[in-house]
Amino acid sequence: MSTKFGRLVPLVFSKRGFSTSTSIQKGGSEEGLKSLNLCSAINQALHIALDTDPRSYVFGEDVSFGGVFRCTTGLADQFGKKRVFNTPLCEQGIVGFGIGLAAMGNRAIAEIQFADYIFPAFDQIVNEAAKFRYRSGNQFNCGGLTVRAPYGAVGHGGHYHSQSPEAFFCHVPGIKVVIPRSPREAKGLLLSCVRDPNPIVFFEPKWLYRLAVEEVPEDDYMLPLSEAEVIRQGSDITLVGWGAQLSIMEQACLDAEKEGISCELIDLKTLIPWDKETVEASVNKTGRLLVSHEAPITGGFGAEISASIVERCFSRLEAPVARICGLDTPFPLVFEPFYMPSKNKILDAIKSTVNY
Amino acid sequence: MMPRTFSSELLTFFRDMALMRRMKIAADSLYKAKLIRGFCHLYDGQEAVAVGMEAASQKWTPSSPPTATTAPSSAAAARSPRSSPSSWAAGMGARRGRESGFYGGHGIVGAQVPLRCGLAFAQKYSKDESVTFAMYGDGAANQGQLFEEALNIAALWDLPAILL
Repeated sequence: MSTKFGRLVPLVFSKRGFSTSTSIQKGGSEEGLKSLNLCSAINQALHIALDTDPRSYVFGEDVSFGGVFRCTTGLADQFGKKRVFNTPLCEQGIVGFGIGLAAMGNRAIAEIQFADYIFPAFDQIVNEAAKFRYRSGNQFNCGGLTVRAPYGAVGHGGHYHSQSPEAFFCHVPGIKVVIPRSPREAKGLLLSCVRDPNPIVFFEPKWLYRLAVEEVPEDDYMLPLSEAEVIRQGSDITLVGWGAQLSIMEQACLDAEKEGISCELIDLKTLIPWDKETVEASVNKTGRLLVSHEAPITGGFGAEISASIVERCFSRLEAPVARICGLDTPFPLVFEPFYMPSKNKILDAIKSTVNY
Repeated sequence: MMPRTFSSELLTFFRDMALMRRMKIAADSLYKAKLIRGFCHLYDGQEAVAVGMEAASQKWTPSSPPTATTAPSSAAAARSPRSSPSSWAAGMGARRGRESGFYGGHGIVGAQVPLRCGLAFAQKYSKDESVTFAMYGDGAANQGQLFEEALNIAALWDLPAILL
């Protein structure tokens, strides 16, 4: 099977079965592949970023000994404590420091330990990083800033370690928001983010840090930002998602196929600015749209996708746009399975949308 | 004049601290056995803080622990004559906690301290002659909302808040 991105290669997922990933863009090759989980792919990308640019830095809480998820393991040993260093427990300070560092022409890769902890830094991201270039008339910018943060469900995180706050940042012109779905995507997208001339918030699906395993090229490659990818061709309904949710949606697509429903699955990858054209073309073909994300449904980014596609494809839609998302509650602990937009919820929505 | 401390009180303090330590060990074992879900922040080595605070304070003093919350709640329960293992092992429920002036723990480091300034202001406004304990650790001390904001506002408005 092929797409505009080239050959699709199989993924090996434990528990969260997922089948496809893009081929390599810009300098990557199918040779020199190594089986990596998402955490190791992130680690490899950070190694490459530090190795290829002497003015790049990695910093955050506990990063010098590897971080709580071990994504920064070995970086301090290889590149020294002056380029990979711990910060105090102070998210506002971490991001503010990163903005200043990037404004001086450096590549600042800041880690926020959990996406749930990013809110003390919200003012720095929204009012400083996002507006730095605009307010100075392009005299200054902090385009070298990348803020990494693990996001989403993890099975036992509860309300302070499971949130998906991407929609908050998607309302802010001046920053980009990127979320990978797999190890190969994570490495290529993170390297693109680090080298992009804009400040970027890069959310990593922590559920997949260990569970997602894929053949990843060991060399330096980048995947394009703001380009969605059709990872499964179909004719009856378009499904749009990002991050860890893609594997759940893939399972729903496989189950729907058994019932004779052909699903087209799109990974948005970059949420801001997002690839409206790819989604529009797909919906014009299928006439139906389902969006799914872990974040609560009200005000989630799925609402923006829904509104935009209704504006663009109104006359082609055969059914209302379906949104299968988290509930409008704080993220629960023991009730997490009920909260999550599961395969069965998505499958039910696929069937009701197709049969509308 | 310093208040006297009697040997019977000292034994009570020791018993409370030992009870808390045993509870921490039990909680740790239950967490590792996956019988406690979520995140389990222990209080090992800090028992004296909660016990000393309880000993020095009157019953109606609201307290606010940091993210490690089970020990201060069990300390309050351990000093209650109706205390039972089930009452403190489960922590103090929202209702019982509030009745005893215990306003719960917080998952976001340092976020509890500004909240306690609000409690302290309410105490001052209602002239009930009590104080609020706002507890935090060395990690929270780095957060801007603690010293630059909470401590500043507590000092400016002369709030009955003790940050410890």
